[in-house]
Amino acid sequence: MTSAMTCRDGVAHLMDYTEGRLAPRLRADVDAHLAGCPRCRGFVASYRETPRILRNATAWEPPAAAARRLRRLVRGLSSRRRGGAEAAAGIGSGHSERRTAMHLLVLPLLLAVAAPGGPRGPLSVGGVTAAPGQAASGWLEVPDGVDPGTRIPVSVIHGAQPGPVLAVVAGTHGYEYTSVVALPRLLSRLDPKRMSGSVLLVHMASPPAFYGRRIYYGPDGKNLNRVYPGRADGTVSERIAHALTREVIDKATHLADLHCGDGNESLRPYSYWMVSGQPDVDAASRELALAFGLDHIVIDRGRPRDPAASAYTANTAILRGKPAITTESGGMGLTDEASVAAQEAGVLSLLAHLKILDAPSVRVQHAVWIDRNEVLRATATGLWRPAVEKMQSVAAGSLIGRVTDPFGAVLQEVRAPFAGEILYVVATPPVSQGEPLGFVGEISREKDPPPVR
Amino acid sequence: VARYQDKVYRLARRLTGNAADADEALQDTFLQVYRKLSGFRGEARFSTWLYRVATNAALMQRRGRMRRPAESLEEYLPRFDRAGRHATDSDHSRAAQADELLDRARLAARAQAALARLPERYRTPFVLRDLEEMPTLEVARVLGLTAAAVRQRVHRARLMMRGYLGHLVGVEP
Repeated sequence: MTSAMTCRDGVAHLMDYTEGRLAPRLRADVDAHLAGCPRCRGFVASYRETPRILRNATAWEPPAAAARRLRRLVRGLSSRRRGGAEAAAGIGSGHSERRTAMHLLVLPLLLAVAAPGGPRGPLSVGGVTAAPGQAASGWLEVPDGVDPGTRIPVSVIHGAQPGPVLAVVAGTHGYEYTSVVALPRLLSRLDPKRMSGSVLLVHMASPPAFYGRRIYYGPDGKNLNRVYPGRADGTVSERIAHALTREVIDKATHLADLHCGDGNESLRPYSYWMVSGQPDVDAASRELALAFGLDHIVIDRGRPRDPAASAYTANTAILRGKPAITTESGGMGLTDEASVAAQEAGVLSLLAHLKILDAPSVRVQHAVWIDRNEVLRATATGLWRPAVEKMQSVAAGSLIGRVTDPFGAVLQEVRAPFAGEILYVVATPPVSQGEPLGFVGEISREKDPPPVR
Repeated sequence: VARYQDKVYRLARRLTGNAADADEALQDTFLQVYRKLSGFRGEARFSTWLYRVATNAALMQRRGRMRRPAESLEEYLPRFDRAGRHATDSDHSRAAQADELLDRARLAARAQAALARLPERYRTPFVLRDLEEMPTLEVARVLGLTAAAVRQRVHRARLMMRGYLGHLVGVEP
């Protein structure tokens, strides 16, 4: 360290230093100072990372309403433009000709906003491409990053005729098997030549969680269904979310995220209808929930509204203006036929509802709507002994179960916060502080179906 | 071109600090692009020109709002003792992990608020260069500044934002 170089001097040169613009002599002085100054080393690291952290934290995308407004605006302009071009051609002054030329140059750019899609070409997810009327299966690569990457098995079934694009996501959680087993069955039943619209199947969203037999979390300790829309430079769950957002959600018009109880959860079948405050999207999502065919539907009003922090798979689609649902059928690591068949039949019914398949849709006639609901969580780490079973009705204040320490002393007694039905209950002993123990829902007295608010 | 729509929105959101103003700026940008096409002579790249229109639309939107007396971010600039050494014994490297230490939604909200608190002369160059990743010369062209002035302002903005991220994870500047 030269006597002349202080922390203050170093900080003054930091931008040039980090961008390699310092003269060699000065650079050597900064290097020497850094070698002897741990505070400055920490400072440089944080200075370097600041733009990236803020860039990721503020990567907002336009809300669906803004994009729709823009499309309307551009459509309006382009219809005015057509009239204007004819007038300009009539006058024929040099200025007008130049103006017209400029409009002709840029209007196609604007029009592309108004009419996305254009001529119907092949449909791709990652490197998996299907021409209209064809199906293809392969891998969506998630490259190595701060930890090892993975490859996600996907199928693209591209209908011969145009129509909606339904994305179906299985295996977001590694120990939830009913959807992973249902999707190959579904694939074998879909004929793209008879489809008006397309289907994107994500057979297993998190292969490292699946092959690692992991409950809730991926190998990076993160819940894939809490890190959307993900990030390209994050850990593997975040990179998976990033890849699925760009390659699957962005290419779909509708989405169904198929879940079941995790390896420790005993669950009764139900769907989530997520309410986002976008009336048209919410109404379409409600119809998807009814079309899927599970008669219990949880009205979920608590999801984040910021597309840059959408957290959940279905919520990511919804905040991008795409109707979506999350479904739950099965649990406890089982692949019982009834639970698998419900997932398979549900997706087929969605395809009929969206008119991708020319078939009857099975719409729930009298759904049980659950508005007030609560996930009961452990306040202590220990052994969980449930006192209830799934589908059981419970009175307000009745015992749901107890958490004890390994010697049997009670650490937490869990009681029903209101009268309702047990939608799922954790049925195995290990539990860590903060984790779910059960899910109780109150049956709504509102009219069926409940209005979009 | 959906690419332009997303870029313009993101830029506007970063500059205006809220969704409603960003939406207005987005619509306004495309309207202006349509109206001002004759002003685009192909000398600059289309994207540079679009950025200029979008930046102005976003700044107009922000100026149209009542100005709240924003607390300054100057307090997050690094502090030094008389000998020019860092005045605190903080572990500054923690600020580099702010995105891992903080909940994503909370960080997004705080980042938006902090950007809004940056004085405009720093915020606009910082947003264009560090967040939108535009080359310094292009930022200079859009803002009518010299490249040296852009670099100096971006540097100061980065120091303030770095200190603020540190503050969020409990590190003194």
